[in-house]
Amino acid sequence: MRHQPFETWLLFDDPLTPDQARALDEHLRACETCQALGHSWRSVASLFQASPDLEPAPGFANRWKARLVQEDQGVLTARYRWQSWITLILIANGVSLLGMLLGMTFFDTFDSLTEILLVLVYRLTSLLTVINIFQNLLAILIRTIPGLLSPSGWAILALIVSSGSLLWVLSMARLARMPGRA
Amino acid sequence: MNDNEAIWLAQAREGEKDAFSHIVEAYQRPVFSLCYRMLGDAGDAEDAAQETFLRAYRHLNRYDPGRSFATWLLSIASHYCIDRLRKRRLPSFSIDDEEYDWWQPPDPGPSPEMALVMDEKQTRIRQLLDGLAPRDRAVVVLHYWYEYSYEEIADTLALSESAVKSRLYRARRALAESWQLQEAQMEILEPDHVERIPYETPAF
Repeated sequence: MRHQPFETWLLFDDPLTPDQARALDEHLRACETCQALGHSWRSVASLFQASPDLEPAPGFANRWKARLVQEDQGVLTARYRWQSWITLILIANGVSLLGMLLGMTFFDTFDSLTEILLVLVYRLTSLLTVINIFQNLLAILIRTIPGLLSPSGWAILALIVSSGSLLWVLSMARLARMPGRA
Repeated sequence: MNDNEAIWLAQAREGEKDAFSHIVEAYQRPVFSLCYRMLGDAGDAEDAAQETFLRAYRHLNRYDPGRSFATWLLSIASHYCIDRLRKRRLPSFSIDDEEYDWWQPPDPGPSPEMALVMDEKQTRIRQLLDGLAPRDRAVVVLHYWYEYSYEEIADTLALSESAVKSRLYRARRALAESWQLQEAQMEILEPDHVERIPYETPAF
């Protein structure tokens, strides 16, 4: 037995013409399959219609607000993390480039490893000589400066310097407390 | 949408979270209900409804005031649930899952009212809807619980009206067949209850 178009008529919302309704009625009297289909569909529809709307647990809007705040924090953290990584990568790239440039310049200037080692020893010796000169200069200053003023003169100088420092600290603290400054 | 809701919406567009939380209060029921019908689980529905409102809040600038706000909101909820159902069918593991969970609010679980509603009828509806494809399920839910016209369903789900009609026909047929199957299973189980062997103690 053919079930079309009767199945379609049973399951569609479109209104039937009187002829279609009569044909469907006749078919349903003879066809148990379509009868069962129509009955089942009507049962499902009535079950749906009898089922009420559902509500979430109380406090849904508050939970939503809390989630929004937490998600915003998560987004910010992710953004900071991303920015940190970008900065780190840029710095690493800069350092690598600088290293490469210096390395290339260094190896271009010298022809052999012996020459490089000799230059390094020369630079190190020069550095140590400069340090030694500064050390001697410092020793001379330490021996000479105390004799420039009498002990009372040093005491007066120390008092002036400490008073000036104290005045500066107090002024800065006062400025920091002024309105309009965070 | 009433005047208050229009004001809240305008304020929310300016970035006022509190104004949008009034919108959440007003629409929580239809959105949650849709998510529950789509996903069949109270915890998943809560999460999906929360996500729907978050997406709506973040993309308020995309909302066209000429359209119904409810339709726009339900459209977001439907698409989110459809995606979620599709993912559920393709089990996957993400290394981000554990990291994602830490900020999730605790699952509030069903309210006492909800527990009462989750009776045999609800289970049966869920079983019936479970047999449908995600988009067909959305079509059925919007048509029967929200009384949306073909045009409104088409607008909500970004389908043509003829596609809505054919999906609804296919879904009704599948639902009727599932119903018949459930009835047949119940008939098979029923005699067991009726013809249960009377209690007899081994001593006799």
